[in-house]
Order: sequence, then structure tokens, then C-alpha cells
Amino acid sequence: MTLLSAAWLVLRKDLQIELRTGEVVVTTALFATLVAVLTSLSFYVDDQSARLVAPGVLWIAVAFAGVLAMSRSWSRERENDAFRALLLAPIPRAAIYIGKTLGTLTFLAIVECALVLEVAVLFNLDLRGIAGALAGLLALGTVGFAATGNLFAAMGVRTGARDLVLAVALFPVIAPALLCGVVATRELIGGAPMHEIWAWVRILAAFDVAFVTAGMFLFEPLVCD
Amino acid sequence: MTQPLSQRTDTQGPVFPWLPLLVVACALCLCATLYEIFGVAPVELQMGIVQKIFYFHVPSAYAMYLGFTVSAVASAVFLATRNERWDAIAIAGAEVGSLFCLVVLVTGPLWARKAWGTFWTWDPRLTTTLLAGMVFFAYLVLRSFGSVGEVEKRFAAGLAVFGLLDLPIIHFSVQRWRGTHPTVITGNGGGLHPDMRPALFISFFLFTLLAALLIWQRARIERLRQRYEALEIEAAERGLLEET
Repeated sequence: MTLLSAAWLVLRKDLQIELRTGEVVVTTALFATLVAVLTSLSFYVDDQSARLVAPGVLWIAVAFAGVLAMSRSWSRERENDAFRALLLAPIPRAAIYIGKTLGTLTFLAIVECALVLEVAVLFNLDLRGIAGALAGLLALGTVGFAATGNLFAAMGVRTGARDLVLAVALFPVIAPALLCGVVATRELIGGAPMHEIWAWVRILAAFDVAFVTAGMFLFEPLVCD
Repeated sequence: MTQPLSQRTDTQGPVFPWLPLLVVACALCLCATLYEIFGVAPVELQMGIVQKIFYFHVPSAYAMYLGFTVSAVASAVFLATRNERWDAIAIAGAEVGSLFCLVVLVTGPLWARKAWGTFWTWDPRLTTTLLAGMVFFAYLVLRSFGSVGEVEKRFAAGLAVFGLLDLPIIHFSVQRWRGTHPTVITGNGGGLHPDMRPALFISFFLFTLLAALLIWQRARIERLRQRYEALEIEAAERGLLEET
């Protein structure tokens, strides 16, 4: 069985569970909404400053909600020791990692669609014309975030402190991706020329490449006994 | 069949004959450094005595990266070999690095207040130090939960490796972020006065020795702890712990 078809099996398993329960997407979307509402309550002053604050709100909500989604998705594997069964399955170990990461990406993509609309409404932003670029930025940022987060969540789920550990360990590591995402989005909303944003895209892409590669190689030595 | 415990030689723990020498060298170098900094190096005109922080701050930052690098490299080797010896070096590097990181984060703002008029600025170097510190503080938190099992050790090792990978990306992204604003304050302004160089140079030497000494000692303690743990497990297996 090739790596990708095995990863597809893991992904399909996660999607199937999600379709039947809706647990991760609904909880995560609700939490992301709460973060967006609370932060806009805290930071909204006028329409002028809203354009500066909104990108931060958007990305912080994605980061917080993402941690919740990954932690929930992996704690499912802990129940009934399902993770041991996954490890025993005759598939490459990296396939588990890729499958779970793709699952997180799918869930977060849905949550982000809702979140962007909410932030646009709350902060009175006009996103027509930059929607495609914003989607690209979010996709790039989420890939590196999910790649790092799933590796940490896979390890964290087996430690004593679990969710707490995931947030504490993950946020400093993904900080540069968050920074790139926020600043690039702010420049995008502010109408900066494409080559300005392109520089951020390059850093985000470098982050993605470095951490997806490291995740694929480190998953087996880190997670398997 | 294992030997009786009384005849075992591997209960002695590792012996480090060079350690006292390193301690003496460190103490002598500390005296020389203090004399050089406060006795020989000139007092800076504008900042006065506050500038002396510089001789501790810059070598501390260097010792911090030394500790973090040692930790990340040892973590990578630990993940590849699963040899506990490397884990001991990794935690020693992380602890010593975090200690120096605290020194940097305390002395830096004190100096910056006088030099730049502000405690903190989002300079690439400052941000990288802060985030590297957060990564390794998380490492220490991870390792300080009551029962540190195999999983926590590996998680911490993975975090250290990712932390080191992250440093250039943090530096580069913050540089780009603040680089678009021309008012950013970078570095320590102009070059260093030639009379101040010996003090800084010997301070660098001192902090190298100090970092090596601390990492070495901490790794030794960790090795002893691992050995103690192994002996305790062995004693429990032989039923020695149940008698009270």
C-alpha cells in the first residue's frame, strides 16, 4: 500500500467519524466564533483601526481553534487505545501523520470559511477582490500550523498533561507563521502591492516546507515505541 | 542471573576527574573578568555605569544559544539512538540555556531603557530570544511534570529540534516585519571602543567556561538520577523494596 493511499484511508476514517458526529467542526467553529467576538469586543475602536486589528483577530482565532481541533482529533485516538491499532496497521507510519494532518486541514478549512465571513462582518471589511489571495494565505499558514500541531498533538495525547502541553509547546513554535500571516493579511487589506505580500508568502512557504518535512521524518521516531 | 548488588561495580556513577579543574578555571576567570570590567574598561560617556551590563548581557546571549544548540543536537541524537546519555545532555543544555535566557531577558531591558529609552522593541534579535526562551521554557515545563516517562522525553526532544529549526524563520520573519519600518533600532549602535574589547573578550571566555561547567554538571546529575532510577527498578524487581 502506498503512502498516499494509506493516508487517504486514515483521512477517510476521520472524515467519516466527523460526518457522523460533527463534533470537531462544530465545537471548533463555535470556539473560533467566540474568540472572534471577544477579541473584536476588546479591540474594536473605529473602522480605521478595525482594518489593522482584524487580521490579528482572524489568525489568533484560527490558531486557538486549531489547537482545539487537533487536540480533540487526537484524543479520539486515545480512547480504547485506538492509536495502538493505528500503529499496528500494516501501513507506513508517516501515512498516519499525513492522514491526520489532512483531516485537520479539512476541518480548519471549513472553520476558516465561516470565520473569515464573521470577521468581515464584525470589523466591517470589504473582502471582495482579495478573497482569493486571503484564501491562499490562510491555506499556506494552516498547512505549517497543522503539520507542526499534529506532530505535537500525537505526542501530547500520550503525556500526562495533554491539552495544556500542546498549547504551551505549539504556540512559540508557530509564532513566526502567525506573524507572517497577520502582517501579510494586514498588508493585503491595506491594499499593498502583490510583491510586498509575496515576500511573506515565501517565508510562510519556507516554514511549511521545513516543518512538513521535519514532521514526516520525525513522526516515527517521536511517536512510536 | 545477575550479580549480588554488593559486588557490582556499575553502581559507582560516572567519574569526572577534570571537573574540579574546570571549577577552578571558572572561578579564576570570573575574578579576572570582574576586574577587567570594573577596573580596567573605561566608563562609557553617555550611559555611564549602566553600559557595564553589556559585558554580561552579550556573552549570556551567546551562552544561551550555546545551551539551546547543545540541547537540540543532543535531542536529535537521542531520538535517533534512544541512548539516555544524550537525553541527559539535552535537558542540561535546555536548563542552562533557559537560565542564560533569563539573564538576557532581565539585563536587556535594563540596558535598553538607558540606551534606547525603551524597555522593549520588536527587534529580530529580541524577538528571536524571547520566542526561543518560550520554546525551551515549554521544554522544561514538559520535563518537570511529576512522572517524566518515555513519551515526555521524546516530546521534549521533538520540541527542542523544532525550536532550533524555528530560530532562523523567526529571525527572518521579524526582520522583514520591522524592516518595513525605518525607525527600528538595531544592535548597539556604533562599534565598541578598543579599550572595552578585552573585557568583552574575557567575558565571552568566562561564559563559555561557565556554560560548559553548568551543562556538564547538570548532565552528570541527570545521569546519576537515571542510574538511581534504574537501580530502584532493579531493586524492586528483586523484591528488595517491599521489606520495611
